Amino acid sequence: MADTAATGLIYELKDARPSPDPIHDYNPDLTGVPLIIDNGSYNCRVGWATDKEPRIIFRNCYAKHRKDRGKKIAAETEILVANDITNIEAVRFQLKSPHDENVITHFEAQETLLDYTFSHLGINTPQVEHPIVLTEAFCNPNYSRQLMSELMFECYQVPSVSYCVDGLLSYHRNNPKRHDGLLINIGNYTTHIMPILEGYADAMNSRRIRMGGAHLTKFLWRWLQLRFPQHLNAITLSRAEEIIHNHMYIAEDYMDAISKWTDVNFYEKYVQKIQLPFVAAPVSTVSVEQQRERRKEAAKRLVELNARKREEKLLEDEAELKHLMELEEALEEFTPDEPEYQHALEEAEVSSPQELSKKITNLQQRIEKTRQKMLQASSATTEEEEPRPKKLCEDLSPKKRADMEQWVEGVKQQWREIQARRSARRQKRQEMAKRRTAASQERMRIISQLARREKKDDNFGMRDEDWDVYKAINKEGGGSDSEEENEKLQELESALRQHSPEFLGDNTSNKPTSIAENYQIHLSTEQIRIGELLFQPYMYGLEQGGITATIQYVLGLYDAKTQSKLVGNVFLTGGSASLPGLKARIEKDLLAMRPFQSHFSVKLAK
Amino acid sequence: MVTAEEVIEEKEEKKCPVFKNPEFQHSAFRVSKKRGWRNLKQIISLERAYTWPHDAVNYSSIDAPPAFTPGKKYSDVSGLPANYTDPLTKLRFADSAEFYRVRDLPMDIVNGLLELRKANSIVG
Repeated sequence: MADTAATGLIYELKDARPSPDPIHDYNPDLTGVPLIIDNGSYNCRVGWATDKEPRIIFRNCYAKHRKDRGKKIAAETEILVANDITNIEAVRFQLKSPHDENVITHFEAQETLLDYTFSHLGINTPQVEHPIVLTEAFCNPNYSRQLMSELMFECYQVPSVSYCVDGLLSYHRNNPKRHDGLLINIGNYTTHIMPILEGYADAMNSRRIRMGGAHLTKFLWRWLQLRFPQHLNAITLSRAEEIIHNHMYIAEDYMDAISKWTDVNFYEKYVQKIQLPFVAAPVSTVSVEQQRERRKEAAKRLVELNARKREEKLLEDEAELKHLMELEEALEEFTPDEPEYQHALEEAEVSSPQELSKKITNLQQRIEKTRQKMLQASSATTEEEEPRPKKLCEDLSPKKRADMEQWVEGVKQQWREIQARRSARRQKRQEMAKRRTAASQERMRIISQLARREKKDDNFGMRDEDWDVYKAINKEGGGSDSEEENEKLQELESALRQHSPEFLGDNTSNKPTSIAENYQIHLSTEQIRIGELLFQPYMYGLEQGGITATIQYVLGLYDAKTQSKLVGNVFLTGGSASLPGLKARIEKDLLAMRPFQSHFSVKLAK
Repeated sequence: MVTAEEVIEEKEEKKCPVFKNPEFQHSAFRVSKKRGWRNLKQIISLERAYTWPHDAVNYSSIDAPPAFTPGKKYSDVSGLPANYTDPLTKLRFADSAEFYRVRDLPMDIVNGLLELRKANSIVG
């Protein structure tokens, strides 16, 4: 087993984001140079034949946002291609890929992605004037190849296209001279086992297992979500991928390795903890007095605000009153004919002296009211402030304790209720399952009654109450241990632990003690289990044999001489082939299935 | 048909890269846009419907056969080898402590674990 002793190390998730690709310059000496496109279902790698490394590597997918559902014109949708997608989890549901398993079926998507590649390579001629080397799936159906050729020749007007299988290319690059061997290509969606004789792949005897890197990721993702349901949203597919790339390995002897995990010491030594990012929630003070203080402060602030507003208003009103009074006096002096009279009336915005006097009285009343309110408020605050300090000094401790005790009693009661409900439900569930209990007999009776009623006019569903009978029949007892209840229980337990630890007894011994620990996921058997999926697809529900079993089968299709030729050069390639421990495992399995003391060798791709 | 073509041309005009043939239409779309693209299952079944010569190799002829040894069973709770199955929930477990965990699990997690193993059909 690989030595990955963690001993307390906590790993953090990197959550890397892809950066957008640059648009390369289109060099004039690149005319006629073949363009190599490795169209994989995970990554697409594009480069010129003269490059050592691919120029552009991107995830082979794009996200299509629907901006406006009302309009039918496709131009309204916004498309983010490959590395332009900065946060792949946000658009997970809108992701589209041209691949279905490992075959390209969606050619519109392929068109979009090819547009992306060509534009990023900087091609600016009216047609793509380079021969293209394109990879496809092994034994690609004719239908997809036909559509691909159509896309290439008619849309992009490529002069020539060559299709190859990526695994074979890798084999030939790594084995320039050996012409016989067994190629094992662990891809994203499939794993191929291809015998190669005389430099050509023997397609008739090759076999494909429908298990690949994507399945491993999905399995880990789902498994972690089920093991840690409280982190359902935090465990994303990208994070599962990262964990697989960094923390998984393949055990040489699976049964032996996995039985070691039953030992607690072994677990403690080798468990790997992954820290999920979390936001430390602001600690909400449970204590009553702090809450009370806060409320008091808020109330005081409000009161001050109100008082200030009232003062301002009062000043305004008084000023206006003075102005109007002056006008009234002025009016009394002049007669209605003089222009000053009219002028005065206009200023006051009234049309006659009666209105003016009315307005004045209104204003005076308003001022009176405001003055009274202010008086009340100030007297009220002075009243409040006096008894408060008194209370605070006298009854602080006993009063607080009384409050707290009441509250703690309430919490205990709630906790007891939830536990009672849970155990009752569990009891009912168990009874329903057994045959001879009263609950299950009752259930049978209801079911048979329902069945009998159907002979006459069947008006079962007419009334809404009829459907309630299903609640009674339900084996679960009409409701399961919901998450909310669990959460509530946790809350109550933590509160109880603070205030009356003796209540809970010994249930609290193994609860996590820090917030950070709450957000960790532990990888124990998962470290070897995921890699084992390649060898035992039965764990995933797939009925095919694993890599070893299929190798055995394929070898069995040949005679002994060819078998030894093939086994003499076993070649591993593909994305998931970089899982540590793979080579050792295959060597061990080959040793087990080959005749005694026969020669074999396993190589990994560079 | 005319309106569909107009729409496609509009889209092409808006963002047609230089290297593309602006009048290109996928042959699969010529008949009706609603049929869409065929997915892999449909393609495979179409292939199988043809009459092939005896030694032709197809996508489906390379499928690996089922294993000759029966599959090993592992616990749904911990991943350890599991010798026991809970008759009520059909989950596998390795020892008695795990059994209590299994009985305590809520329905959605039970279903999720069975679905992971592709064991959640009623047929059994």
